[in-house]
Amino acid sequence: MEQNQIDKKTILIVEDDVFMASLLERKFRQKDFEILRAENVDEARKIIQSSQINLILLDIILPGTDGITFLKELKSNTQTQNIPVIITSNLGQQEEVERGMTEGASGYIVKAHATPGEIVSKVEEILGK
Amino acid sequence: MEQTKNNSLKEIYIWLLQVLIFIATIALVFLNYISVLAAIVFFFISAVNSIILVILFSNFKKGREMFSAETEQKSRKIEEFDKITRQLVKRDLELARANQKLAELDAAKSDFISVAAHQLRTPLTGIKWAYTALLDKETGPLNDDQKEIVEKGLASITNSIDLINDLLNVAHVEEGKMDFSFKKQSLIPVAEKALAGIKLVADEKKIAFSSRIPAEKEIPEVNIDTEKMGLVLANILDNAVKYTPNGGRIDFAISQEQGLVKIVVQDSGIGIPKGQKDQLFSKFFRAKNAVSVQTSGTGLGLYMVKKIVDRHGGKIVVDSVEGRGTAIIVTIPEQTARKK
Repeated sequence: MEQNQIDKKTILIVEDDVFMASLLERKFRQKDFEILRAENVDEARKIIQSSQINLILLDIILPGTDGITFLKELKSNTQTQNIPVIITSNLGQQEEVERGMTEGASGYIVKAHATPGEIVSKVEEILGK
Repeated sequence: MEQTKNNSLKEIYIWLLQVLIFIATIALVFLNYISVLAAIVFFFISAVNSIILVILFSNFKKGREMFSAETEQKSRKIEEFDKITRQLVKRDLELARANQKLAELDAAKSDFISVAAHQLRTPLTGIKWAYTALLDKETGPLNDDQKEIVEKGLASITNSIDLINDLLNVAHVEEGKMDFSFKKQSLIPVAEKALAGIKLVADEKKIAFSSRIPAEKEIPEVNIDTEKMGLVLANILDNAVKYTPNGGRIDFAISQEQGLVKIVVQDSGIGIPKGQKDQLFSKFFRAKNAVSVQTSGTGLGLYMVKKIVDRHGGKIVVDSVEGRGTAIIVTIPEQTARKK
């Protein structure tokens, strides 16, 4: 059981829409992921300092600091730059996607175009699970 | 003798004197004539001079008057020109201000569209994910009625998301802000992805689906934007499925023809009424029979499709008979592609 806990990958979901975050969490837990949730960047920073995170799902429009600013911060910090970040946003214009990818995101998912199952698959692909 | 000699000398002197007086008289008379003549000539020249002076003065006066009139006219013209210039400068400033305002409004419109799309998509995403969770039996199995309701709800939500995407895409196309990223590649994977996306709905309607897709090496690569071309094929296939009755037929084919890669989507659907084919690619156009079969739809899909095909330097044509079906033919040139 303890070994299972160690093998579990931990995903941090940074999403201010609690309902969507809960639907995502439910799907990830079914696939045996450990889930941590933050509704804004301040909460996300605290979680990252105290936990080992394998991947971050990051919304762009968040209260306070926006997701792109946080992504830059993560990628410029040696402690966090290797954590893969997938942007999950409903901003889906090409320039927005390109901006996210340029700043170092490992993927960009327009939430309206995907299901939680597809997001889990993308995470599994990136983590090589 | 001596007396006679003296008398003769006197006579000679007198004669000589008389001759001299005569010559002098003649000379005086002649000089007088010359003077008179000179006076006449002088008088004549003076008269001519006077006439010339009068004429010159008169012309000068006229010229001065004309010059004054011209100067006045020129002054008026300069004044008018100044007035027009001032008006032009004013208009120019007004236009510059209006342009700035338009640029601001344009930026605001783009931001608004982007934010509105985000705000509309977010709640729809929540509903979509909730229905998906139910269909994935995350809260336990659904009975047939429950499943049907949730599936219909999911379809409605998906339509709404598509509508938002269409509006967003059209807004971007019209603003010239739809970014194209052309790359020389095969159309076949793009077609296969579009076909896979439509297969489920086609199967549900029991539509016989055939596709003639050659091996990648048999079809030349073309300069395309994968995402945009995927949008084109998805739209055409979606229409074919939407307007083909249950149990109908759709044939999809890719071929090479005279320097072109040709895609044909032929359906056995409701077709397009005679006289409405020309409007098919117009914004917000929906054929009369289409509205009666499928109430949802914006009439934006094919408008956007044509814009995208145009940007690829390609062509899209329609061949249709009402009640018998429609063929949409897209051709993309092998060599040319319009790069942004």
